[in-house]
Amino acid sequence: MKPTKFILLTIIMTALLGLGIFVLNGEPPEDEWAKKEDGSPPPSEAVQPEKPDWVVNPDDYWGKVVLPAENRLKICMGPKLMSLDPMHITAGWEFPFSDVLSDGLVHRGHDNPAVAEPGVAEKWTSSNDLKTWTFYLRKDAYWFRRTKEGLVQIVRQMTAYDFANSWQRCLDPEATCEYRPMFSDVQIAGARDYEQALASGNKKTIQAAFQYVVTHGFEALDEYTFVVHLQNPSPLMPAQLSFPVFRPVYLPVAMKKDPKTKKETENDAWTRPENAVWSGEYFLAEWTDAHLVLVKNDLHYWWETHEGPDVIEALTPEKYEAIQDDFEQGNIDVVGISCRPQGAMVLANRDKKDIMTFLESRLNYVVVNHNKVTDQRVRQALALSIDRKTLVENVMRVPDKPSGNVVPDGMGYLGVQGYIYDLDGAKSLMALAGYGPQKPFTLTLNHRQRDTEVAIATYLQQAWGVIGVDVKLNVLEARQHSKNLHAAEFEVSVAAWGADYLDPMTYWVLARTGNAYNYGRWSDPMFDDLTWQGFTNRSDIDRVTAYQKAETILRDAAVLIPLAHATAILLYKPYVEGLRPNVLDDHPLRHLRIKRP
Amino acid sequence: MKTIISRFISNLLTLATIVTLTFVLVRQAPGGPFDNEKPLPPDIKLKLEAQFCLDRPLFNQYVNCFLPNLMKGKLGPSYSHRARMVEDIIAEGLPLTMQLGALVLTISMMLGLTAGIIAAIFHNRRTDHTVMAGATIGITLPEFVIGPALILVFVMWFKIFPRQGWDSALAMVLPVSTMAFYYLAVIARLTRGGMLEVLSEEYILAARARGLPRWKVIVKHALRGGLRPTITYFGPATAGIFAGGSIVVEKMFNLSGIGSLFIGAAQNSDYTLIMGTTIVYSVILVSLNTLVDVGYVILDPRLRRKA
Repeated sequence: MKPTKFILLTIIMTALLGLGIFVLNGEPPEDEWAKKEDGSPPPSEAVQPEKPDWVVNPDDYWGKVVLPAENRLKICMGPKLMSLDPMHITAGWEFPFSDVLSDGLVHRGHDNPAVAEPGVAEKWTSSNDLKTWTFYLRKDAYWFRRTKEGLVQIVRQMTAYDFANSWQRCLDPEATCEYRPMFSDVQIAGARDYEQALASGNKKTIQAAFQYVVTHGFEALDEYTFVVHLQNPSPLMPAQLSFPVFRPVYLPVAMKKDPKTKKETENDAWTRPENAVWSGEYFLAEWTDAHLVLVKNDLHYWWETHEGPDVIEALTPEKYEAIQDDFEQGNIDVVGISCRPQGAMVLANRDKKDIMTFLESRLNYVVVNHNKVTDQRVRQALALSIDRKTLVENVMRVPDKPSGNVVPDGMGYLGVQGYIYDLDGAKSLMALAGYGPQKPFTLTLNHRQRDTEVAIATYLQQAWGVIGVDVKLNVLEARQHSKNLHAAEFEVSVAAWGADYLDPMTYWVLARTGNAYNYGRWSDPMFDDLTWQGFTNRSDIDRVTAYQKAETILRDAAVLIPLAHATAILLYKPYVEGLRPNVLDDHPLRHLRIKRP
Repeated sequence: MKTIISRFISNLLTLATIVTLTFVLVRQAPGGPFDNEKPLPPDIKLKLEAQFCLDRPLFNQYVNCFLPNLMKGKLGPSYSHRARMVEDIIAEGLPLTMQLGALVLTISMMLGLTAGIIAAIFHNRRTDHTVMAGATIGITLPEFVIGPALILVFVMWFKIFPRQGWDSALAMVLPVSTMAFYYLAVIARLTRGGMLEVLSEEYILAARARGLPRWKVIVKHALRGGLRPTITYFGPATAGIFAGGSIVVEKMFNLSGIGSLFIGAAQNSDYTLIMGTTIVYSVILVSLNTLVDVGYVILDPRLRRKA
């Protein structure tokens, strides 16, 4: 073949290939903004009510408001889901999906997350000492499978044995159940000793402790009665049993036999849509990296008395700009359930009716390594020299709440006076410690590359420089930063923390001796005793009193320097019902509805 | 035949080197796949590391865990999406990356060749200067400047195209344009240069003197020689487009191709997914280079005789 012909043929073939790909992807979806020649919108996509009761003035809303034609809700999915197995869920953005795929004994209260609502357990009782809780299961809770044709089949009834076996699966010494310590947090009998045994590494001790917790911590009395025994009364019961780790799985698909060892091992692929057996209000119909589709399970008992979307579609716009763009153009109905909108945008549009902001539990703070910054006066000076209001409003530029306290409002606890901005006091403390502008104290501050943390670190460098602290910034990749924190290889580090439950203990763990989250390795037996007293006390007054004493010790030690509590942001279309502000930023998908006029 | 076999063996050696180096280097990066923001209980972290062979010495991991699975065509579960196998994740993302690459190649070839030929024909006139100015801009401006500028104008201001996605022809325009700009510019410059060189040859003058129409002179006589630099560039361009060239664009427009997967895997220290995407890119690169070399042999009789 002559070269010229070859060249021309190549060009023509490439052009045809490209054209083919272009054409085969079909016509673009009908443009929502496109209007017919007479000015009216195309009828198939946009359904505008004749007398909308919630769209009075479009200027009141930041995003475009177009009522969906179908009973289909679109939400933002956030970062990619790592797992939907209740045993392996760790990230906050996975919780909403797991919540409606796997049913639990109880659900968090819709209006008050501290209160439990019935789930598979239709009622429960507790002993007088609050150490024994008996859950009575409903008889119409089932395991379901969805066929390729989309039909829902009942596999069998859910029983108390499912709960007992699933909890045992999580506690198994060979299992990699990341939230296993939650059993200890809830005070299930033997769980604390089991964690200590696992930390020791002694196999005999581990086996003994495991056997104890699975025989004394919980039991299925019969098919419909599940009993939980506690070591001590717990303020977390029973609402915390809504946490993913306590939800059961259908073991015949969740476990598989290893052909070589013949032992039962985890079947990681069981949550795939084609394999899964679920118990929740929705089914997983599709799951790719960027897209997740939940389809209503009409046979679930929830739908006897409630309504909700037939389909919930979750999309992963990874960048903040894309999230906001999609919401603004009307492509997403809710943003914020599983992903976080950009704070700066919200500040500019705070008066709009489709933006809801409320205080949540996430704490931005600085952790001081107790063994590297040993002088308490220096630590206190660091805490007092931060103008948190300026930091949040002018530096971070987010709608967060500046705070000198570790525990946010809404946790059922009234804290002591926290850190204030006292520059003179800080300078005096530094002078007492022998430091000042002439003799600076040198410090390395670790932080991640995230915009917020860079802003915080830059501000702190400047603020601490004023009191005679020479700060060197050490920016680290996220995982390296985590590794350094966990190994206490830092002097001072920017960090963040989110609550797992509605009790201040979820924050005290950041400072309790030997706790993995106590990155600064601080230890004070009195603090440990007081926080434990509070956590295991049945009296609210005594609990608060003990906590306040503990918080005073923590404040004086200045090993945790709180900066701000985050403000959760929800972008939601006015036709979406069921969202409630709460400090855990928990928005169960089962409660969402599309309200039609 | 001997050439083909030796080329195949050298390709295999290249792939083996890339894979091995990646395997070693990725495990040297600070921070592991289980160093999450909230620390795992130490015993669970140890079990996870054992499950994925990370508790063994590097050589042991490579020989006893990685290679046996690779020979079976399995890359293992993704560390950060444990319900999914790496090959399934890649199979999901590869078609999009290939589509994107094919469209970019098509557009940049078509438009670049056309622009370069026109610039050469109208050498030193306004048309030439305009085309070359555009080409300079296309070469100079990186994708992460062009992309956001296009988004600002065509998505935010004029609302013509969607911000992201790949589910319609409209959605493809901006990502393809962003990526094609550079290659289009390079091809235009190369084509112009090659054509100018050929158009000044004596045989072209002779053809014109014989009274041949201008288009015939260009197409039949000048094009073959004039496109030689462009054809030389075709290979590296193809390799650049298909073997990692789409990473920035995929991330910018939130496209679920293997470029996005690669970035996500790197951020999550997802070793198995990093290995999977690296292997895919390497195979594409090596295969395309081989195809291009074969193409050169077909085109150039001198190389054919040598071979």
